[in-house]
Amino acid sequence: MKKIFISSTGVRSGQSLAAWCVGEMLRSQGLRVGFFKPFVTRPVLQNGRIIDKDALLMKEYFNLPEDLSLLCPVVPEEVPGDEVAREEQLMRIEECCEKVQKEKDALIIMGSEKIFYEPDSPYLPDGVLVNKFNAPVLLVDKFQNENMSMYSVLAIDSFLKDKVKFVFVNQIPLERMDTAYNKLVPFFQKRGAPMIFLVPQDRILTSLTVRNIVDIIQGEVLTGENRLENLVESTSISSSHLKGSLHLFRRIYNKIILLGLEADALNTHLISSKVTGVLLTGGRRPAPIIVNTCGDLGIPLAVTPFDTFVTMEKIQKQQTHITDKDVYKLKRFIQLLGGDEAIQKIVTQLDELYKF
Amino acid sequence: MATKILVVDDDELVLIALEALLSPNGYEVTTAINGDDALGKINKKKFDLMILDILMPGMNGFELCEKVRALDEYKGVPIIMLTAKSGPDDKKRGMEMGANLFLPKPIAPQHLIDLIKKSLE
Repeated sequence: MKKIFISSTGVRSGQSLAAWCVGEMLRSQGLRVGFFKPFVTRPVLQNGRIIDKDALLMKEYFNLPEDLSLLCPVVPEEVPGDEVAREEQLMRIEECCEKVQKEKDALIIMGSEKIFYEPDSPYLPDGVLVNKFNAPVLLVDKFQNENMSMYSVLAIDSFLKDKVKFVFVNQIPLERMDTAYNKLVPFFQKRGAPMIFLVPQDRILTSLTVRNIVDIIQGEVLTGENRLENLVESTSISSSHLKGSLHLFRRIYNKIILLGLEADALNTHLISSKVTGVLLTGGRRPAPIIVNTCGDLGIPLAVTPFDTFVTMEKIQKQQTHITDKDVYKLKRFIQLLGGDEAIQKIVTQLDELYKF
Repeated sequence: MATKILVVDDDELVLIALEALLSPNGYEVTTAINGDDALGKINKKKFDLMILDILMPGMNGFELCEKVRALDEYKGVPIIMLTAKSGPDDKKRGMEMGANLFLPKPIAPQHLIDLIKKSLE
């Protein structure tokens, strides 16, 4: 069975998307893919128990039969445990991993964003887990500059004794792509390893669709049903008291405008065909003129029972993690990595590593 | 004039990594592959900060640190031990030999840069 350990050099590097992406690549080759993440790092409460959002995503997308408590077994304590506690953690991790890899051809193991040393971390460092699983590593690095990426990859590869086989340098600003390519690719090619992929910053990867937003705010869609897949890049809050700012909204593309309790005829001024959607907060039914304006322009109009503050909070929270509904992000990420060519390179390299 | 840093590690990858990180930050980086190599370079040039590994063939980092500290001109130079051998006993010994900081590998790039700046203040 093939294993691959997905680690990252820091938080919000795109590690979850990378893990999903590699799983999908392997599945596209006909392999039965499993998932294992030793530590809960993205907790969410479900039916009274703490589960991990990544484990939930992989369970649902890959249709995994194993319970979430097996896919991601350890909820870390706030205070790091002593040596004995860590040994027990490790034993539990090994037991669960044994179970989840049954009847699988490939196992994605996801680390805890703690590859660099951190004192007082409640997690066992990724370095310990990589050695325990003896798996090749895919390192996800959130780009800061070329030198930081070079240092991070080399320092970690040295520490893991050449186990880093793939690197995704992620979120590179478009204007830096050429420099990053010219500096990083020849450097690592000359060394022969690891295989490096550069991923530019991309608005699709950071955007939500109108449908995503409607789902998370339990919205009821009144108009514009056929444009729910449109991407929302940012949100603006409006109220009829803000007359001066209303003109701004007419000129801004891809906005969701959240209308507050005072929504009335005045607000129709800010609705134009360039707007991606309109949410009405506070559970009030909109005035007919708003419904008609949105309907005529084909703009999705939804009402939510939550107030504006809660609505914004929910939208912002959603932007920091992915769910199985974000398949468009998965497809986009694979495309940015290099599409079929990238899949072939990664799959072939993994085959090579597991040949003997 | 650029701050001169000597990095001593028997792993070439670490030397390349640290040079890649520190040079663009304005530091003049010299590398040495073992303790003897480091002492040879110290004789030729005065460094403002040293980063030492512990586990090296021949002279280890503790011994090198002790020898460097015995030199009059290196009594006040910051020495950072950057190592995978990071138990409490190792740390204690490193400090006894004269190290100013004892850091476990791998260390995050920005964290290391911040600590170097602080050590040089």
